[in-house]
Amino acid sequence: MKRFTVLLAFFVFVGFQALQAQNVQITGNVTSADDGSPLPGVSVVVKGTTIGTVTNFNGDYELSVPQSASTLSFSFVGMTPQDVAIEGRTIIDLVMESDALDIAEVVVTALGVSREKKSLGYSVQDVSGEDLSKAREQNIINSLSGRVAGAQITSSSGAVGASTRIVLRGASSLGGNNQPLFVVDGIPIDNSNMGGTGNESVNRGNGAADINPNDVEKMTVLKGPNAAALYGSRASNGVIIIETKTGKGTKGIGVTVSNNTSFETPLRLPDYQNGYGQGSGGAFSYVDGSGGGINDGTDESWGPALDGRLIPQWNSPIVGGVRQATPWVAHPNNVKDFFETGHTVSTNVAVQGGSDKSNFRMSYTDTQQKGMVPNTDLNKKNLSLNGSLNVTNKLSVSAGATYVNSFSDNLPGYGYSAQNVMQQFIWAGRSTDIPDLKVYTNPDGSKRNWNYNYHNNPYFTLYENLNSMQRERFMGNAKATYQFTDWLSGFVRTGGDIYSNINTEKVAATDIDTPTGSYFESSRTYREINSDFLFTAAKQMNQDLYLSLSAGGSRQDYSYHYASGAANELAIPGVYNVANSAVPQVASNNSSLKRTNSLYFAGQVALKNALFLDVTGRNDWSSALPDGNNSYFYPSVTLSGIFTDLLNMDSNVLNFGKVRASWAKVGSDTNPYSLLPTLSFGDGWNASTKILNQFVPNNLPNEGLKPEFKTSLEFGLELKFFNNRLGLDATYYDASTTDQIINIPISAASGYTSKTINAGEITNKGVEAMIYVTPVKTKDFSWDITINYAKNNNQVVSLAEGVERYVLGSYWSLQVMAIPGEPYGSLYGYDLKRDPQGNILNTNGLPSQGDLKILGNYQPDWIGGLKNDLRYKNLSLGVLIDTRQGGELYSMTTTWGRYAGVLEETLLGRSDGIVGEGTMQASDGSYVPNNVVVTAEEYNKAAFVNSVAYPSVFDASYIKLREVTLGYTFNKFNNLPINSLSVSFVGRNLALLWAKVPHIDPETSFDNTNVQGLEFGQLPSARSLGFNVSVNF
Amino acid sequence: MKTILFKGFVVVFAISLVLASCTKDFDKINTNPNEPGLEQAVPKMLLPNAIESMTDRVYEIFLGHEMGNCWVQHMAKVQYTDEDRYIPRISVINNTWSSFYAANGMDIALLKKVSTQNGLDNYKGVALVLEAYVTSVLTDLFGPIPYTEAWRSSLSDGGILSPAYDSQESIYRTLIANLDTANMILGTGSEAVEGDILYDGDTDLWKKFANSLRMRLILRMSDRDATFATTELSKMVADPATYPIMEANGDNAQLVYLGSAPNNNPINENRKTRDDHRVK
Repeated sequence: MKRFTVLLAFFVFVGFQALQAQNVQITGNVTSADDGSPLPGVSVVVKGTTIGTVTNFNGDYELSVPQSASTLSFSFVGMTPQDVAIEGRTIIDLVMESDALDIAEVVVTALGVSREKKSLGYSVQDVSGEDLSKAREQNIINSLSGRVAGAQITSSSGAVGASTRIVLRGASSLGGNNQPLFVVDGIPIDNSNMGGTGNESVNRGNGAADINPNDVEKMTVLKGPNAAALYGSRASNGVIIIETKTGKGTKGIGVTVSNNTSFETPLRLPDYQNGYGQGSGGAFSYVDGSGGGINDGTDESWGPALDGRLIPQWNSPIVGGVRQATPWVAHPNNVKDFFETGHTVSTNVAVQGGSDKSNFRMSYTDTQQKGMVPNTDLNKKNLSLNGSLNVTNKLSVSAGATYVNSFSDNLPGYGYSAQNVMQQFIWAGRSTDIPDLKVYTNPDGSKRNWNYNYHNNPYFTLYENLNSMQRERFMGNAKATYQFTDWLSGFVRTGGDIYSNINTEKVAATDIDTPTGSYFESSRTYREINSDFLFTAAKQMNQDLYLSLSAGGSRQDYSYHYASGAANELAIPGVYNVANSAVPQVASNNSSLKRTNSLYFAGQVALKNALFLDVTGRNDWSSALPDGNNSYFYPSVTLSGIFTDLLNMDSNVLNFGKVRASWAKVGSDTNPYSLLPTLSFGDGWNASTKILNQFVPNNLPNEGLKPEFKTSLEFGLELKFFNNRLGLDATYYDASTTDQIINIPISAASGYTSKTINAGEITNKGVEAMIYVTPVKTKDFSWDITINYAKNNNQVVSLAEGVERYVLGSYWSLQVMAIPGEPYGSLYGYDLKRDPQGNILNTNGLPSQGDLKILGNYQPDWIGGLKNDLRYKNLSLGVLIDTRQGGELYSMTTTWGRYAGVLEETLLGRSDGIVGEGTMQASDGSYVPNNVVVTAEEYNKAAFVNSVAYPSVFDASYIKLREVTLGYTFNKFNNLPINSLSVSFVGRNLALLWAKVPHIDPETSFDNTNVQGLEFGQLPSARSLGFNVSVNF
Repeated sequence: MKTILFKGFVVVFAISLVLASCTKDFDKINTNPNEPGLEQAVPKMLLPNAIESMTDRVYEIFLGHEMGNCWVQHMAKVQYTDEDRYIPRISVINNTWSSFYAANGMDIALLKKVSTQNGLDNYKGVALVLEAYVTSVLTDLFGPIPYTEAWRSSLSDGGILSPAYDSQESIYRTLIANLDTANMILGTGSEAVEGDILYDGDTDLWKKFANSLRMRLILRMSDRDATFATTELSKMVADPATYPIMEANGDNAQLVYLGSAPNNNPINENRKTRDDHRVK
């Protein structure tokens, strides 16, 4: 309660503000000449006095002035200041012109408050809705690639509906979420995985992918916890604030119709060899595809040379019961031809209208996607409606609602699984004519395939084993704002994100892993309601001093329900119902609830509109933490100064200079039900007699959990030269996350294998820089260059006492870990055996398994982007290149692709054998260079196998041509009711200009969890080419 | 204006107070609706999993099959031939340790605790026999192991997260004493042993399991303490009424798997998807 008292004191402080003697009441509204939108925060002062105020959110002001007053001064950064004679008027409206020399950027900050960017003491970066709708990525996070300094974006694949991960300023949480919070129109929305994560699963995308780029006015990226102290715990990894378009500023009715059509093809497929076909030891002859012929059960490509010789093959004609020998030839494009040209067609109709009292916007988007992977699709329908009304001149209300329906008949399987077709193509004999497999059933109903030992027919996988998804989502908010006096306003708001998501997974009978077929269905219901209120007192005390104080509170209610049912063996093939199970059905359900109550304040002192001090504080009460530890406070302090103004050093060379410093702390809670031990339910014994069972789970909860804290210090410098033709925005930050809530391993003899505790520290130190250059700027032609760069040094400082490694996830023999002294995300696996000098040690000419060690790390050293925008009259061209430098990844494609002899590198030594790199032990025990010749098959199978990871760990650096847009806007239409028509051609993910990893796109993952840096049969990323047409009526 | 201000502050104050005081619902919100607390453990539901997971652990593919059958060359593998070639895999050893202790031993320990607290002597006897079996397998595999401080991670049991090791000798002596206790209390409780997928609630058969296991342990330590072994064994053999032992196949402590998942024999389940094992 002590903190509560402190908060109250702030309210009281507000109350002591002296009230002005009432003389003449002047009211008015200030708008921008640019777009007619109201200007909040404009300072209105009686000239020559300290009497003044600022305009509210709607641009309105109210000021009582002495009878003697004759002139009002209006000023706002970025606008030309104006003096207006009162001349006895009581209503003075004003349209302000923007100041060409100093264009103020207004950004949305915490709690949805718009502020001038120049007054902020922390790093913020914007991406305009125009950029987003030009880029037309279906997953809006992808559009940020290369645009935001310090945002690392990893798209998982080019399959429809695939998830994308975004991390700002490096990972900071060991076991928890490392992605920023997404806030749409002031209401947080869910960005979690939509079911199925990790290896051997279906990637159904991330929550933020439901945001429709057509509806986005602006995205603002608040990078550090400094920027986000007022959004609470989940903002400790930064916040992405999305403002949707409204009808504000529209005169009358405006209609926009737009269409985006694009075509997708694989960006990069492995480089396969085409010299040798299926088999092993150079021999192959097909009888039954499961070992009945010569090596015909083998899927690998160590068979005979593809020289046109005649060999019976899986698709050779059978004449008189005898399979005929047919030419043994390569099918160089067999994988490429398997993929189809995907397409995305998105059509949007938006109607907006407005008057001085109200405005509305309605938008409908229909998106149809067909994937490059055969028989995969995703359809989305987004309907959004928002509006606002000034009920009186003091009360305004606004509301927005968005409905999203996402539906897919089939999404492809991921990871190293028979359900992922790319897994098969890592193994498939190079002699296999894959497109010929399209007919996957023989006339007699039996399976038609090239191999019956290990693989499904890939078309069978995609046309019979269907993974569907259906999601209905509602996001909305309602807000009422009341202007109590000219300096005090308040709002109450409530909003939520509610969705239900149903996934089904069908496996057809005769599947290679589940011959009986199976069916699984899961349903998720998610609901988060945020209600908040905020009172803001803001006053221009005199010409130099501006004070503002906001105080408010919020309640966040979260609920989640999951239910699933499985028929693990179907009784009747082809009937996909949980009841149709030959074995006991497996059902599961769980629900969780969480509530967080918060009170917070934010105060600002501005001197001469050039020196700004911000203080924030927030106290959270979380239901997930134990009594006594569930209330926690976290503050922030920010100071920034525009030294060019303060020191009057404004010149033609340096026209703007600002320094900023900020310190912030953010507390976080944990998941519900992490405190007390429980019993889990087991499968039971003998479903018919229903002997139920329960057991003690492996993790021991903790009744004494405390909140974890992230502390961050940030310094920044912003410089603008030559009338803004050259700009620099640089930031240094140093953040540390301590007392992390993690499950650390404990002695199993305690009865549990792990326990939830507060321990560990991760630090992130780094720099971010953005450089803006405008080399040419004339009336008709302009050229803008934007460069961004971010380098992050991440370190796991400590884990719990006695814990040397924390496993984030593991697949096969490779583990992704947090290890003290190393950056988060070490790739930990087996090296090759080495001699004392560290050379690879061969035995009988072959390398073998060595020690377990750190082989790499998935975090990059630095990331950057280079954007060029050229405009000539109405023609515009944008080119975006981005890069990731440093960090490693493990490529399963290389491991099994070389083991199986399908990759280009395996041609080496096929005829004369291989002498492996490294040494061998001579008979006298000394180490001498290896000179034993082994076959290519022997060598590749020894060096590239699951038991060693080292040879398949690669530098994950890349440079990508991320985006090219070419657009033209027509705006002279005689006799047509069209305002403007714009056409643009867009290319996304166009080329991998440079990469070190072979065969795959280094931008890869299973999903958007913390387990990254692993490639297990990547579905290729998509190169997308298309066009946009947009008509404004 | 002052009225507006006053009203404003009253509203702020009221809302703040409501928010701040609402932590009283937190206990209810944060009560797990999906799983019962440890205090709600039911012996008849703990028992089936305690038996099945113990048997699974012993006969599962890694310990029973590969560290067992392949190690002694009764079976061989054509792929992943580590144990065949006497190369123990760290993961298998770690998994054996943690699954006996955490996945299985903890269930038995909880069964023992709940039955002791509620005076359910039949269940307690069963728990003592299962505990003795699991602990003897563990100490035979690993030598000195944590026992007296094991399974005591709950705060009420001492909150021990790093239990101390006991010598094999002291463990053997304790288990032999515990099995004597089990033999004495089995059948004296008034409750029926339900959820017993091994002996279907027959406490006489459990006594036979207790005594036969006791004899095995005594025999195993006979080279170390012949006097003790002779005394104890003679006492048991001389008094079959007090110390009944297994005499027929029907007395065997043998779990008969049901033949289909999830209650299938683990080796059979493995063979459904793998064929890399061969008989020598």
